[in-house]
Amino acid sequence: MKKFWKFVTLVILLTSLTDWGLGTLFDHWYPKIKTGQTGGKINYYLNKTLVPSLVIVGNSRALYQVIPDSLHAQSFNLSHAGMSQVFQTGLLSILKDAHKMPSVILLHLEPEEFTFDDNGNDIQNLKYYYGKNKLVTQYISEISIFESSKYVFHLYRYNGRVFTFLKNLVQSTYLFKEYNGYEVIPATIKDSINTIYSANNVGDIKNENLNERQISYLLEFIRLCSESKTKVICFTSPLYRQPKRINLITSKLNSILKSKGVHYIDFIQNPIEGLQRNPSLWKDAYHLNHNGARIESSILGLQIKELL
Amino acid sequence: MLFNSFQFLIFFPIVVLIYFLLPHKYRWFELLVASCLFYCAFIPGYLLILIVTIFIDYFAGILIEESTDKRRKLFLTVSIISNLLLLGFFKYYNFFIDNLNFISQSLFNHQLQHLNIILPIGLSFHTFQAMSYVIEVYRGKQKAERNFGIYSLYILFFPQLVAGPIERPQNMLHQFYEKKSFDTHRLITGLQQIGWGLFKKVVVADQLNIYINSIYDRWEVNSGVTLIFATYCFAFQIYCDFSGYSDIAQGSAHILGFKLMDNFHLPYFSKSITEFWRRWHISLSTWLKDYLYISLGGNRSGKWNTYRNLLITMLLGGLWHGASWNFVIWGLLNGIYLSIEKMTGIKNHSQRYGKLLNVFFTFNLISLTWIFFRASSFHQAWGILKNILDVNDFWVLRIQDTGIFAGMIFGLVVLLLVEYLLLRKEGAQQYFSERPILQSCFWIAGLITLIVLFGVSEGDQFIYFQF
Repeated sequence: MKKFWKFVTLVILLTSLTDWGLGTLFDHWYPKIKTGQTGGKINYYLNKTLVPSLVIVGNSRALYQVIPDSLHAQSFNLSHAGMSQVFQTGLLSILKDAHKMPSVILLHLEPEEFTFDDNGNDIQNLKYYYGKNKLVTQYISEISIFESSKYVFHLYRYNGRVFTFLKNLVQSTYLFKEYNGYEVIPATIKDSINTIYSANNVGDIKNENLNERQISYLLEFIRLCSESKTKVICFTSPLYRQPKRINLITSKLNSILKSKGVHYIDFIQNPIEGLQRNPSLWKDAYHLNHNGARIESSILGLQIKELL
Repeated sequence: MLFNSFQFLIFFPIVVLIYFLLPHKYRWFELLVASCLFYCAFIPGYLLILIVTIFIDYFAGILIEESTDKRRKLFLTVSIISNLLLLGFFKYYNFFIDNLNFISQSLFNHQLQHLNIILPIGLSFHTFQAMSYVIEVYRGKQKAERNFGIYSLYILFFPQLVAGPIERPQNMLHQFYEKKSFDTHRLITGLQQIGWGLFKKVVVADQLNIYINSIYDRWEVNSGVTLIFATYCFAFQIYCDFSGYSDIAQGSAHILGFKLMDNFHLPYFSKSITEFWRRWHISLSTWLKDYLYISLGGNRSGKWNTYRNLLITMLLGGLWHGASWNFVIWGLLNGIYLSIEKMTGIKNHSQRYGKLLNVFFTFNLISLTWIFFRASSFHQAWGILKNILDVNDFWVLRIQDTGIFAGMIFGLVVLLLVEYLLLRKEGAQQYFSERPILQSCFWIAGLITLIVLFGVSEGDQFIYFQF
């Protein structure tokens, strides 16, 4: 048994030492990253001395389609591709903790996501803030009963992102300064073909019932905004081809938002003239290219102006 | 219960602790209960199917041993047919209906209904293991097991229950009777092998899976080098996924004092297809050789019959993997390769160009077959083959997510270095058992750190579970 305890002690000691050593090094480097989707963009925003008046948050359909300069003089697009509402709520909580809440937040809602019965896995993209931010920690712990135990290892906060993190550290200059967080999808001659091709693969909505958990993330988002006296406006970007019954979901979302006194700009129910008839303004059936983004942003800008 | 889950991390130490605390005579019972719990963690109802096959084969074994001549054959036939019927019903019924519908639709404009059933996890593995038992009893190489509990444990033993290795009764049954005591050295060896298996699964296979899915799911817009590279990646994904599982199975069994057979021996270092099949999924390839190829006549009745037997064996081996024409083609291609090698007497593809070229050539031939294995339909596999040959954009390599791409390349480099430099000559268990304690500690701590940093924590289940 002596050999057994010697083995166990040595393994624990070596693992803890590596975890502590590498963890400390990564913790030192992480705040220096100012670019990329794995935390750099958030760092860049948190380090801004002047907090923008208007911040856009959402997924790729906000990131590639909403040009901040078309909306307001001091605005910033803090959207992250592929991220659902749980991430946006966690992100807002981080901004609140850092006292970097803007006066207005423009939140992009992806209707279909509110019907998914997932376990809020997207919050894992904020795992660096586990133990640092209360709401992020809570959401991560809710993923599964074992999730918190993974954070016994300090290094787990960097799980799956070491190489991206190191790459962004080496080239840590903010790449999209010119556009204040907006990322450009340049228009190409292949766009029309890609859009028509991908539109054929757009499936119907399988379920239009809203998921309670997803809605709770949205309500928490609104609550955090109201606590900080930040005005929140929600919007949904247009689609080249709308799946059948998607309007049923946006109607339900609209009634929830109405009951909370939040204005909802719904380009699904009220499509932007001309966009859906012109595939050359799209990258695929879901994303506008830069030319299309300019149209959406200018119309969004006009509608927001009336609300501010 | 998945090996790469927290449930297993809790389950296994408890099983080990109770196992060594209990007196020897109760241990088999504890393992049997633990194995049932392990299987019930997937779909509890399917344990009943397993119990049915256990009953049939247990009594068949005894009846075969106690009977003579024709009755022996009758009991063997009943046992094999009932096993195959069960496998056929759950695994091939819908496939059969699909093909029947294809014909009846064109002739009578009539469609038969599919059955809404889920394939019990690991059904092909335990069916083959059960068949191996009755055949060995019939051949007189194994005595029929009289203890129903021990026989059940032979089928249900949790480390190899859902994805093998497909054990032989001669190797396993006597081990359940042997008294085993706790051994720290065995624990350290087993843990190292489990750690290495986990690394292969969650760091290499699961990262490769993300990349491969992103390419194969949109195969229409990918071509040339991208599809070739994704196929190479799949070759390593399936190897790491399956051999990783086998390592964890062997390591877990080793800690409990059991020796499971080796299932992989660096297959991608093979210099011919024949050698590849001696190193890949060894427990299945030897099963097919012993019970199918040799039963068909093997190479004893002329060269053309040998080629025919090889083709039939590999074709059925392909079908064993899944109810789809893709698997049939995969098996057929391997059968054709083996027949050509037999025909031409090739042991190494070309002695002239050296070992490295032989390895490269063999790897490419095998990778070609993986396209059919990975694709979801024949249409997709054929489309991928056509796109690979498309000269437009041939040299474009899609990297997709740079972080995942870098992570998977890192995983592959570590895999190849460790397997080539450390495990090539001795095999994993042998190598790990000879390390000094300090080196073993560094190895395990290093693997834990790599798994924490690069492991995909929401990874899929093991690919071979679906078989």
